[in-house]
Amino acid sequence: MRGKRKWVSGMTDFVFLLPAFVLFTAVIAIPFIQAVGIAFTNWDGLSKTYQFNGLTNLTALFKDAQTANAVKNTLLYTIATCVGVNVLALAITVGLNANIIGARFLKSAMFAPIIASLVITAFIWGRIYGDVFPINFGMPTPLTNTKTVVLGIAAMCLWRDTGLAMVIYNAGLQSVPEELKEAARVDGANAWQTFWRVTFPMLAPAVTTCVTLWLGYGLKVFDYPKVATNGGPGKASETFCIFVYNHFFTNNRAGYGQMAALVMLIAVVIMTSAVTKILRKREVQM
Amino acid sequence: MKKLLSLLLVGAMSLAVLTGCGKGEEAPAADAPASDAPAAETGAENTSDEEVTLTFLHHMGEQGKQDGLVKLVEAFHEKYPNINVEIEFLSRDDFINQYKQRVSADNAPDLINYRPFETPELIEAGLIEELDASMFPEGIDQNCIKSLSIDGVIYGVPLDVGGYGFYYNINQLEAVGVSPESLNTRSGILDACEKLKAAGYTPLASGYAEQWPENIIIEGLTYTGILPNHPTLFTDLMSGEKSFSDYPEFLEIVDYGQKLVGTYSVIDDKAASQQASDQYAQFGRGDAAMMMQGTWAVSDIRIAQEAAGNTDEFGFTIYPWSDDVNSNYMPANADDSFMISKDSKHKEEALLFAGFCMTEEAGKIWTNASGCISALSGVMPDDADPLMEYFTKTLADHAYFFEMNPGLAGQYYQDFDKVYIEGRVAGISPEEVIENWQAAYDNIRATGG
Repeated sequence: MRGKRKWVSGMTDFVFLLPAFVLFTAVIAIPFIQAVGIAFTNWDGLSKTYQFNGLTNLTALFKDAQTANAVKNTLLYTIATCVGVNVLALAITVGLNANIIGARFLKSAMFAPIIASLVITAFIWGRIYGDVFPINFGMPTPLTNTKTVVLGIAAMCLWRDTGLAMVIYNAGLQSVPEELKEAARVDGANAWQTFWRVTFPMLAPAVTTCVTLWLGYGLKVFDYPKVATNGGPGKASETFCIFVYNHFFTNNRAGYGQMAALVMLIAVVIMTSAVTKILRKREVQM
Repeated sequence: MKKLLSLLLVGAMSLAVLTGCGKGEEAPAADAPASDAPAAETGAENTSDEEVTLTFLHHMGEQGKQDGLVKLVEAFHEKYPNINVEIEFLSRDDFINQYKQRVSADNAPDLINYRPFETPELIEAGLIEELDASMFPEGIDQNCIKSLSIDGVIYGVPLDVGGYGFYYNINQLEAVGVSPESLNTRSGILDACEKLKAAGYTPLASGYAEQWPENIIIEGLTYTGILPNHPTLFTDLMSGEKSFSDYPEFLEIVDYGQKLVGTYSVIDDKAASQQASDQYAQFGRGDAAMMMQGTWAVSDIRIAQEAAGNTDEFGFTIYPWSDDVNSNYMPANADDSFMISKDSKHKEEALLFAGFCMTEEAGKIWTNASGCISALSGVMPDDADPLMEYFTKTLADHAYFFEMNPGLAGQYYQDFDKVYIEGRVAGISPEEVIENWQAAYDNIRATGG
C-alpha cells in the first residue's frame, strides 16, 4: 500500500515535469542527436542527400591548418575577458562598497550596459573605435589590425559584462560578516590584508560562479566578432564558433562544421567542468 | 480533486507543447493552377483573388537602389493587386549564410538577389529555378544573360548592367596636372595617386573596414588580368591542377592592390575604419580625388555631393591592371540580378514579378531610381546622370563580362579574399600572399573541402 502510494507520488512528480521534459526532448535532445549524426557525413548543408564518411571529418579537423588559428583566437579572447571581467568587477565592487558618495548611482551606471544586446554593443563599439578613437584620441581602431583585433573585441565584452559580474560579487560581498573584517582590523590588518585574507576567501563561491560563467561565454563567443569584424581582417578574429558557422554555411561543409561543433562542445564541457572542480575544491579549502 | 485538476492542466500543457512542434502542411489553394508551366511563359495572368506575398531578399545597400526596389514593387502591385512583394535587406558580408539558414529552415525567400557565378553551389543543389529564354525580351543585354547562365541554362534576371572602375574628380586631377586619359594604365593610376598625395589631396577614398570593397579590389584585377587568357583559372586552382605560382600576373596584381589600398586609401587612422557608405560619401564630398568602386555607387555619391554642396565634376574610367591599354578592361556583369527559389511556394507569382521586371516600364523605373544602366537596351533614365555617359562608353569599349567563366566556389572563394586582405593588413609581401593562397587551397583540399 505504502509502495503504491510512493509510486503514485513519483508519477505525479514526473507528470509535472512532463511539459519541460517534452519541450527539452523536442527542442534540444532530438536535434542534438540528429546533429551528431550529421557530423559523420559529407553533407554540404544544401543537398537533400549525403553519405556517411566515418571519422573523416574528425581527422580532417585535426589536420586543418585553420583550426589552430580559431583555437588561438578563442583562447586569447577567453583569457582576456575572463580575467578582465572578474578583476574589474571585483575591484569596482569592493571600491563602491567603501561608502563613497554616489556609489549607488555608479553601481547602476556600471550595470547599465548589460541591457544592450550583444549585437548593439558590437555596433556601438564599432562606431566608437571608428569615429571617436582616431579623432579624439588619435588612436587607430584596433579592429582593422590583425594583432589587436581580438583584444579590441574583448574590450566590448568588458564594457558590457563587468556590470553583471559586479552584481554577483556584490551579493557575495554582502554575505561577508562585518565582524570578521572588524576582527582583522583590530588585529592590525591593513585594508589590503583585510581584503586579501578575509574578504576574498569569503567570496570564493562568487569567484567560482563568475569564472565559470565567463570561461564558458568566452569559449563560445560568436556575436561580438561576427558583428564587429565578421572574423576579419581576413581570419584574424575568427573564433571557433565562427569557424564552425563558416564551415556549416559559407563553405558548404555542414558535416565538417558539425564535427567541429561537436568537438568544441566536448572541449567546453571538459574545460568548464575542470575549472569548476578546481574552484569548488578551493572553496572548501578556504 | 485538486490533484486531478492539476494533472489535467499539466496534460493539456504537454499537449500544447507537442502541438506547437507539429509541422503544418500547407493546403493547396482551391484555385491553384494544375499546370507547372509558369504564367510568364504561358502568358497567363494571375487572376486569383488570393492574397500572395513574395519575399525578395537583397543586399543592395545603396539608397537609390533601395528606393528603386520599392518603386518596382509598388508598380508591380498596382498591376497585380493581389500580389505583394516584401523586400528584406541583409548585409552582403553575411547574405549567403543567412539565405542558406533560411533554406535549411524550409523558409527560403521567393526571390534572391544573387548571381550564379557567386553561388554555383545553390545551382548544383537544385535550389534555383531554371528560367526559360522566352521570358526575356529581345532587347535584353545578351552578355548579362550569358553571365547569369551555367552550362547554357539561365538562372538569373538582370535589372541592370554594371561593373567597376575608377571614379575621379576632374577638378582635383586638373589641379595636379593629371589628365583623365592617363588613368587607363596601372602606371597612370599610381602616378596620379602619387601626384595627388604630394599635393595634399587624399588620392583614393577608403571603405576597407568592410570586407567587400577590398574583395573587389583583388577580384577585379584577377578577373581582368588573368581570367581573359585563362578562362579555367579558378577551376584549375581549386582542383590543384595549377598553382598560384603558375600565374606570374598574381605577383603584379597583389602588389598593385596592396598599394591602392594600403598606400593611397588607408592613409590615416580614420580612413582605416571607414565602411563602404563612408567611401561613397568621402568621394562625393570631394574629400578624396578618386575611388575604385562599382557603377552602383552613383546615386549615393550624388546624395553626398549634394549634401556637402560640392560642385566638382566627376568622371569614370576602367580598372586597369597593366600598362598595356589593350589588355585593360572594366570588370562587368549583370550586377543587380535576382534568382527564383525552386522551392518557392508562389513560383507562378515570382515568375510574374520576374516577367514584369523585364518590361520597359520596370526598366525605366529601375534606371530612374538607381541611376544604373538598364539591362534592357534603349531604356534610359529621364534625367540621366552625367556619369551615365562615362559608364555606357566604358562598358561599350572596355567591358569584360567575367561571369561567363566558371567562378570560385565555397571556401575557395572565401579564402581567396580573406588571405589577400589579411596579408595587406599585416603588411606582408606579394610573394608571401601567393604562398599563403597556395597553402590555404592545399589545406582545403587536404581536409576534404
